[in-house]
Amino acid sequence: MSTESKRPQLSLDELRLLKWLLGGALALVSLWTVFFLDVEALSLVSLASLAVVAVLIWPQLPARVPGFVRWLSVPALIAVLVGDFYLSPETLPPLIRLAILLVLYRGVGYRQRREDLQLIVLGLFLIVVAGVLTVALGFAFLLLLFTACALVFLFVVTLIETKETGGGTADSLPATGAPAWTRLGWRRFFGRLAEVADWRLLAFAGSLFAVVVVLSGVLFLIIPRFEIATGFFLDRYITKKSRTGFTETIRFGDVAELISDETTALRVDFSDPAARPGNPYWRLVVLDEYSREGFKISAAAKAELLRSQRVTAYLRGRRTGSRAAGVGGQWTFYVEPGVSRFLPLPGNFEMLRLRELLPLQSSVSRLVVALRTEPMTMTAYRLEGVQLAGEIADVPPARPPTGRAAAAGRSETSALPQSLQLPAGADNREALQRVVAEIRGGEDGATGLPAEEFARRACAWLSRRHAYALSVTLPSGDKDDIVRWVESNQPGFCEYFAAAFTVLARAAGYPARVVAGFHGGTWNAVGNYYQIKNSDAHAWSEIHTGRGTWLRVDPTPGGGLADSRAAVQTAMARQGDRSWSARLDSLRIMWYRRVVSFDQRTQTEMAEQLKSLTADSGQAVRAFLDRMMARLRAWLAGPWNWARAGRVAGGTVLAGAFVWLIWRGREEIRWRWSRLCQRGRVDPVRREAGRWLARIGHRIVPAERQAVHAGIVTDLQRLRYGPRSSWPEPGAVFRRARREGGAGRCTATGR
Amino acid sequence: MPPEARFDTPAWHGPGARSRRRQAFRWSALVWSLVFPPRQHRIAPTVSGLFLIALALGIGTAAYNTASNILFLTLALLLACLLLSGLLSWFNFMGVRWRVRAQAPWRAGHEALVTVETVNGKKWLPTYGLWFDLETRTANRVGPDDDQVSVREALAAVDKATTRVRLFLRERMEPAGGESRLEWVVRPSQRGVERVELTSVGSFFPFGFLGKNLGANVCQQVLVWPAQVEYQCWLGTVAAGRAQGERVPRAGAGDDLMALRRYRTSDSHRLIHWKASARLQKLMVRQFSAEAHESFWLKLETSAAVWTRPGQFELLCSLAATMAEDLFAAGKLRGVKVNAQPSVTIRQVRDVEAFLDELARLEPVDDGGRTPPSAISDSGVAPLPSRNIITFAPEGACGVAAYVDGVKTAAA
Repeated sequence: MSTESKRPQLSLDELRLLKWLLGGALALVSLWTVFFLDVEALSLVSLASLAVVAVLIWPQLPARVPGFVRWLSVPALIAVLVGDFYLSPETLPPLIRLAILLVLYRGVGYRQRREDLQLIVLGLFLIVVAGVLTVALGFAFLLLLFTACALVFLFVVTLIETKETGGGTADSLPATGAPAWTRLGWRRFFGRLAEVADWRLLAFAGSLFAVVVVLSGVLFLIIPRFEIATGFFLDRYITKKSRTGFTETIRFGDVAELISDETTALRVDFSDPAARPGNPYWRLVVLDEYSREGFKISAAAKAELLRSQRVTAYLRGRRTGSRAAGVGGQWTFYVEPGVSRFLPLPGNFEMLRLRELLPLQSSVSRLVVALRTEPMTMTAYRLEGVQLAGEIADVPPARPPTGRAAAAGRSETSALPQSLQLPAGADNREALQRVVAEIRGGEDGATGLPAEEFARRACAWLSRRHAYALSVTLPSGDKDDIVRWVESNQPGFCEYFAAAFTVLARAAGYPARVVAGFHGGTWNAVGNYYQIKNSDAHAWSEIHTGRGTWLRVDPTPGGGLADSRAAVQTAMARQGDRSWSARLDSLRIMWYRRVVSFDQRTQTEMAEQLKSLTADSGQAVRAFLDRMMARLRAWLAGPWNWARAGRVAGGTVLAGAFVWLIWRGREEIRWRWSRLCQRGRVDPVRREAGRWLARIGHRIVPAERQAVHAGIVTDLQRLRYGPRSSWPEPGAVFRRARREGGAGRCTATGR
Repeated sequence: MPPEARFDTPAWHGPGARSRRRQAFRWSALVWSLVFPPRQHRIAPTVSGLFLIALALGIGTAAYNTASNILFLTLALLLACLLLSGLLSWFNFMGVRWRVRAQAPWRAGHEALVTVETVNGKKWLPTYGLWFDLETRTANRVGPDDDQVSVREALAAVDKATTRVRLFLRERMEPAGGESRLEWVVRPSQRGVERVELTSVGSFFPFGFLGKNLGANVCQQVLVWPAQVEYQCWLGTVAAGRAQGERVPRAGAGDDLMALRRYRTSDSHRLIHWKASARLQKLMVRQFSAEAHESFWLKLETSAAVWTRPGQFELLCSLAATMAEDLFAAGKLRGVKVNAQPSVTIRQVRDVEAFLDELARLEPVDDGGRTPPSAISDSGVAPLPSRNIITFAPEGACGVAAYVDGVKTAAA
């Protein structure tokens, strides 16, 4: 077989080395997706990555592994799998660890076609599992990277197979020693790659991959969706610990630990960006039971949550208070995995919709909504009819507990008993009463001091007495921590302020509770959404007003933030963040909006939008045509005279003549256009010289003209092939050639 | 096949072979061709393609069962990759044309060359990894023609008479006229009309998921001359005892230069007079005077009643072909005559080749046992002389003997 090739091509061994490189890249990409997962395999992934990189750089390494190790590797893998399943309480992590080991096994050994395909499938498994469990934006990038690598990899595999089948030497795995292609050397190989690379083909491949991405997006949109989901299955086989500390029990310091965590906790997307709140509080969990270590959810609240649990995709809320506090539009929340099983809520709401059926718990008396377990993936839900008032309705539980009397005093609600619980011990209570008396200033709170006024005075007292700081040094003593802190002048952070206010309010006879969640956030002006980070974690209090509502009270000076930071954040919230990090983060919200939250309803809405857009476009075109026709009719109906008729006739004739000329000369125009397009590729002088050479170069001339003819031909050849510096004057040469051509014709015709 | 057609340039085939009138592009035709492919166009998934389809089905099922958009996205990406595979495969074939050259004539038992020439007519894109399925089949020798042969035996005979090969394009075909030549060395086993066919052109390009086959249906018929055989010859002894043969003026390899004349097809290149050709701008050859020598006629009578054994008949053809070439090389072949056909005078190489072509197609004739007239003259050809005629007859169970005027002169 012979092939005329113009450009160099990679040899079979070079293709095999390229395949080795791409296979290693595939293995690395698939291994790195495990970093998204919390499956206690990071060390294994690191080791596997190091091994793959090592054999990638030194392809001869696998040949140095003794043969018995290869033989023993499969039984060892099986033993590891069995042991891992036996020791691990969950199902999915052992499977992922097995996949990592298999990728490692295939990534560090010499492969043939079957093993290449196995490597792709294993890598795809890891990527899909990581994507499904995390729903992270990074998954999309890694999936695209993996797809690009896999396509090029398969392309190279096909080329190698063709060459081997067509007569090349098959890449049979050697019994001993490394294959020949491993000795090529990377420097030489990359030099060859640069030599054979063709930018046009690379651009074409890039364009094709872009087409694949666009096409997959279109397919994603048009694949019909049916609501047959019953909840995802993979997340049942894996659990994850909460990172934020927003669990049933929050000890002092848990929230403060999050202040240094700058990762995003949730994003809130508004259907009407104008309705965004200026200083929002995102409630997660209500802590109404006091203990020495801090506040926690009371047993009654837990029982209410458990009683209310059901698998549902929506939850009806209640709107209370004034209509003026209502905010229109829909709020879509995207809560990152690991934040909490409690869903952040800005206030009362009419409807909460989930993306899919999930086991949901709710406490209407505390306005808390929670999932049964902490989700492994991003959780998306939508709120409708949000009410942003600082007061929350005090609603009795759906099934009030029996055997519990109503709280003493002003409370008629069953949630209040826990909200009056004080630190145990007489010394604690005495200390608190002393402080309460100081706050009241002699007034009787039970009769004359409203809750709002008490809250204002208590906050002012706490602000005067304690500064804000993230480090707390408690004085020693036998009393509870919070009582000692109240009595001291030590600075504190939001949990101490909220807890102190709560116990003081309770000591004064006002039901109160601690609420943990987030405060504020950054308005991303690029994507038009709120971005709330873990550093926005906050704790505040709610005091019962005695009028069937709970009033939010934030006793922390500056809203829980240092003053300068609070100022920056307020400005950010008002003007919006347009930094590069905000632009990058807006990609994530786009991912959530367009991909993760895409469902049958969105698909239907999109189809309806497309339909209405088409209809509107058609109507617009029709209206435009109608307007044009009306103008034409009006113009025709205008008064006609000879001058106007002449102008119209002249214009018509000119237009007709123009069209006729274009029509007659269309071939000429096409030809000239093609010449114009080709101009510049070959020098016109060289092209003209070549034309004359073809015409007179091989002509047989009489002996008396041979010298002249040879001179002209030499000059033409110099113009055609010689360097520009050696050119004679082209015009003179072409004139001589033209004369010579005419003389030749005369000679040929015998004249 | 006439001898003139032997050097005809075969036509181009394939997507890049432009017909005189280019068909206008129509989307409907394109879509219809995707739904209902043209005849013999096949797209079949490979093992890895089947695996990919199964994987896509599995991911799709999981996506619908779980409503996970990540799985839907993965499914969409897999489907897009399948579509890309088809698109690239289409690009790969686009603008490619091919033709098959089987350099006739072939000779039984000798190696012959079949060449597949491919040109990439695309402007920018190269072509990778094509394969060409070629087969040769003896056209006129299907097998025993009696009615007792079962279908299976007939198919087995056809299969035995068929040689198949798949040629792979190992190198990349550059765009804008990049050419490639794939060669296949064939060794035909028996004389006859051999049918060389390019059955299909296919590719696994680009990812090995789908095997795309375009039915090529490029066919060429080649004559296979009889094999050369070893034989014993006593022709010199026989001729020495006879009177000298007739003197004939003919262009031959004699010593005396007679003249220069224009080159004609089948003239030996050794006879070209290069100086005169250069001076006159046309090919001229030296013409030598013929010498007086013995010349013979070959006369073949292939009565089925005489040549009852197929093997013996094949040997007859081979012996006749070999003797004709040897006699012509020695300048002793005057002419040939086959059965009732007119006798043909042999003057040039092409006359010998025409005789070999005739031998390639020769079959026993059923003349009812009658012996044809020994000399039938035809207009424009010399009448068969009464002497120096070589005839053939079976010898023993499988041998063949040649006789000159009744005297045995050769045997094989």
